[in-house]
Order: sequence, then C-alpha cells, then structure tokens
Amino acid sequence: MKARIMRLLGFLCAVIMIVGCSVPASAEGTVTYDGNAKDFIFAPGSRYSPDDLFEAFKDVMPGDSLTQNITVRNRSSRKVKVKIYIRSLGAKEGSEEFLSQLRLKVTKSENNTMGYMFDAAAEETAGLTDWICLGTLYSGGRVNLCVTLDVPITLGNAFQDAVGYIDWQFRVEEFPVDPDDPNPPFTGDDRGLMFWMVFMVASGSVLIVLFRKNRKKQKA
Amino acid sequence: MKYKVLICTCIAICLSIAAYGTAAYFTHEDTVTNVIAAGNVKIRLQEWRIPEDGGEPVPFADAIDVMPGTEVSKIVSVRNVGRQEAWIRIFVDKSIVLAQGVDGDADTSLITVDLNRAYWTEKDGCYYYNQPLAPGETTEPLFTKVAFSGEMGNMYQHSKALITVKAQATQVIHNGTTVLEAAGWPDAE
Repeated sequence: MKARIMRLLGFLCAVIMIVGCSVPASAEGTVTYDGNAKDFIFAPGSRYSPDDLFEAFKDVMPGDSLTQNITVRNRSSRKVKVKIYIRSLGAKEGSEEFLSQLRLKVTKSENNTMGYMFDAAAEETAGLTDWICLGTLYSGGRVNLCVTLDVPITLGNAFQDAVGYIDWQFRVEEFPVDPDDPNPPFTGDDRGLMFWMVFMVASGSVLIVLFRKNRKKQKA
Repeated sequence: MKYKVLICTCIAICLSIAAYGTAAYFTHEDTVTNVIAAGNVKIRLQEWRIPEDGGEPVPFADAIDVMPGTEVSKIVSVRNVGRQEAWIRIFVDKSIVLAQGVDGDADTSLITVDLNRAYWTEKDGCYYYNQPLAPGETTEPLFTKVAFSGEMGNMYQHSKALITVKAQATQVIHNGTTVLEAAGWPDAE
C-alpha cells in the first residue's frame, strides 16, 4: 500500500515538473542577442521571410487593428552589458503602395509607460530613420516592443493578397560590466518563481516527514 | 603657440579614440525583413445537375430540347475558396430569346426556380446567404431545379431560356452582424 502511495506521489511530482517547465506558446517576435555567437537570432520567421518578426500581421483585412509584441533580449555572459539599437530602412521596392495604406505604431515599454518610437504610414521610416537606443541590457535583460498595425476599412480590392516588406536593422554594442554599475544584472528568468519556491518548501517538508518516519520505524 | 594647440588637439583625439576603444569593444549589425500580408475574399460559383438516370451530381451542362411542363436539374451553390469568412449574395437573371422570326413578348415568369428560402433571403432582387461562409465551406443550394411552365405555347418553340447566375462576396470581419448589414459588395453590373 505504502509503495503504491509513494509511486503515486512520484508520478504526481513528475507531472508537476513537466507542467511547470513547459513554456507557454505565444505569437511574439523575439530578437535575441547571443553573446557567444556574437550574432542576433530572430524568430519566429514566416514563409515570406526567415527572420520575419511580424507573425501577427498575416492575412490582414480591412478594418483590422492588430498587435505584435516583440521582445529584444540579451543572452550574453554576465561580464558584458549591451546597448541595442534599432532603425528602419523602410519599405522594400514594390511594397510602397500597399504599405502606404497602412498605419504602423511602434512603442517601447519603459517604466510601465509606453513611449512612441514610430507612428506613421507603414512604408515610411519616420521616427526610426536614425538609430534609436532601446536600452542598456545586462545578461538576461530584455526590452518589450509593441507594434500596432491599423488597416483602413477603405482598403480596396486591388490590395487583396498584397505583400509588403519592411526592413529593420538591429545593432549591438558590447561593454564590460563595471563594478560600480547601478543596476544589478537582470536574470530574465522570472517564470513561475513563486511556484518553484512553494514546490521546494513542499518537497522539503515531504522529505523531512519521510525521513522522520523512517527513523521512528528503525528505532522501533 | 600654434604648435602647442596642435599637440593638445592630437592628444585629445588619441584619448577619445582610446576611450571609445575601451567603451565599446564589440559591435554587430543585422537586418530583418518584416512582412505584412493582406488576406483575401475569394469564392467560386458552382453549378451542378443530377443526371436524368440519377446518381451523383455532375457539372451543369446546357439542357436541350426542354419541353413545357418539365424540370431541369440545376444546383446552384457557392464555395469559399479564400482564407477568410465571407458574406455571400447571388443575382439571378432570367431571360428568353425567341426563335428567329418569332415576334412577341416572352414571359420570363413561366420559368421558375425552387428557391431555398430557409438559407437565402431575398432583398431587392438579390439573394443573400443568411450565414457567414467559412473558408473551404459551400453554401446550401440557392435552387436545385428550373421548371418550365406547361403554359408555354408554340411561341416558345426553339426559343432559348437563359438563367444567368452571378455570385458576389464581401468580408465578414468588421462588416456587420448579418448579411443584410454588410457593406463593401462589388458593384453589381
């Protein structure tokens, strides 16, 4: 009987571990700076472009107002901090007419407020013509961008199946972390911290109980 | 004096370069191509008929030698071949072309179709499908038979009856809660 209970407990723990470790699926774009490879990794990509960050902007229809979240992350060693910049190179040739119909807004989350970096027709470079610094990121640090696309209800049949290409450029500068840097390095791993704390305490308690029971049994 | 200024300037430039060199010891740039793709609304008008000896429907072909008081199988429906839900409407136009040398006013009311009013609503001579049509789905038929009245006299011998069917679609998203509220239909010709 006891063995069965122990097996059941083991199974439950395994299930909790699997569920806890699973990463929630999302449609967000990610720009990851990999310090070891000294390169950016872009995701999710699409059938149009392998480094496409606009997964949410496919099959757009007149009247749509869509949002694409993009996370810019620093995955480099703790010895360096990075400055990441962004700029727009604008619409690719042949995309201008379609993109000129659409309105694009890019905002950056900063101190719980969203600051506009870009608010113009999608074919323009506007506020992203020059390099804009997204911030100084320590290892594991991140910046969240929110891109909103507004499609006018008046968009005509001529634009059915139209495809617009917008080039964005990212730039990184690595710096050594100074001992007197004001901000402590951000680990970036904030998923379910409370859950793991509770899980750790519960597991420890179970172990202590089992250990005590075992000792009592041995004494008896 | 000029020499001193020059030396100072050179030192300042060297220090700036050195400072820059220690401040940023690695840089990298990369470009992404982001894509915005428009959706579409596409439909295909389907006309089928049940063969006279029964069986599965086959594509409709013009019926010949039709006699008064008979019916011709003609199943009209619309398939959504696009990637978005669509509101559907169909125009049906009837006309009769009398045989050469025959004078008179042809009465198109002698030709009738068995309209499916459970799924289609008539408004201003046009038939609107009551439900949004999902991608890959096909509407219930607007009608399945064309009937030629027994009252068609000799005037209609060798005449030609034309049933012209034209389907249109508009997007469902951001476009009303019922088909009769929908806007953005293509111009009817």
